[in-house]
Amino acid sequence: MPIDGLATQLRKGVIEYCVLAMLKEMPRYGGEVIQMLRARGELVVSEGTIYPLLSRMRSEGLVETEWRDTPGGAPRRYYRLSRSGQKAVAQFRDEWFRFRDSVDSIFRNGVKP
Amino acid sequence: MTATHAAQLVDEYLQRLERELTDLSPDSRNEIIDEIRRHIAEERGGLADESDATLMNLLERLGDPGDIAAAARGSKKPRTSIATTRRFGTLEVLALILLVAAWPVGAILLWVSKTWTTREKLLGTLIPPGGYAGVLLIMSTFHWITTASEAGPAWVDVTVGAVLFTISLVALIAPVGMIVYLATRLRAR
Repeated sequence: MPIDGLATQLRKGVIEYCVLAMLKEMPRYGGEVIQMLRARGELVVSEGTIYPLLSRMRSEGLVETEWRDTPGGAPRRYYRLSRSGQKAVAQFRDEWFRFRDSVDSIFRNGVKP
Repeated sequence: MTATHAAQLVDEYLQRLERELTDLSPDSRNEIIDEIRRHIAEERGGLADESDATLMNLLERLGDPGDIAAAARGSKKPRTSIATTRRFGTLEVLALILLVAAWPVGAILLWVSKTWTTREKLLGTLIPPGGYAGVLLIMSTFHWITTASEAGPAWVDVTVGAVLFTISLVALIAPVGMIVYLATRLRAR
């Protein structure tokens, strides 16, 4: 597998949960989520894909939305984690740490019996 | 850069996005386009000095409309999957009825239908061969056997009678059983 394709595959699996996790502390609007992802580097290539992702998570009931006024600007749609969204984040967190530890242990220590 | 040129770049981008999103439900499509339009407006508001290059960079960071559409489809199965699900209509219902009522016609319809697999068609044709007509034909030979067995000792006569009774029972239930099986295969996928 070419290494570019590998990065894309890895991103695909985790981006949804990263976005959900970012909504954990407080509701955020799409542009804010994108800025946060941008600040963390390699997580997203096409920033516009975050919007269909948010829209899909809303139709799946993982997030809820509300419009909020912004001083001197157009209203923004804020995304808030729903109960099932919180559950999904917690589940991913556990799964991810286990998964990461297994992969790390192989790459750090090799596979000695 | 002139304001008209900037507006043109943004419009072209949004139009391409709209075209790429045509297979989505109107609600999702409008939501995504609306959010991206707002995003562009907001990012442009934050630009200290808007030039062709900064605006093009902004749109490039958003990504190709095709990628955004692909993300919108996400885990949803592509539309082609609908075509591979089984459909059945009058032909299949007729085939099932005629397998009982008029076996040769029913068997032909069974094979004409594209809904059943070859294995299911074979089973449907061979169990029992000839449908009820076949069953009756087979059963009509039984009296030869019973006549022959009557000549022997009593226990042979009783055993043969019991075996033939069982075979008749199975043979009479088999066609109905097969119709039920074929019907469940219609609903299975």
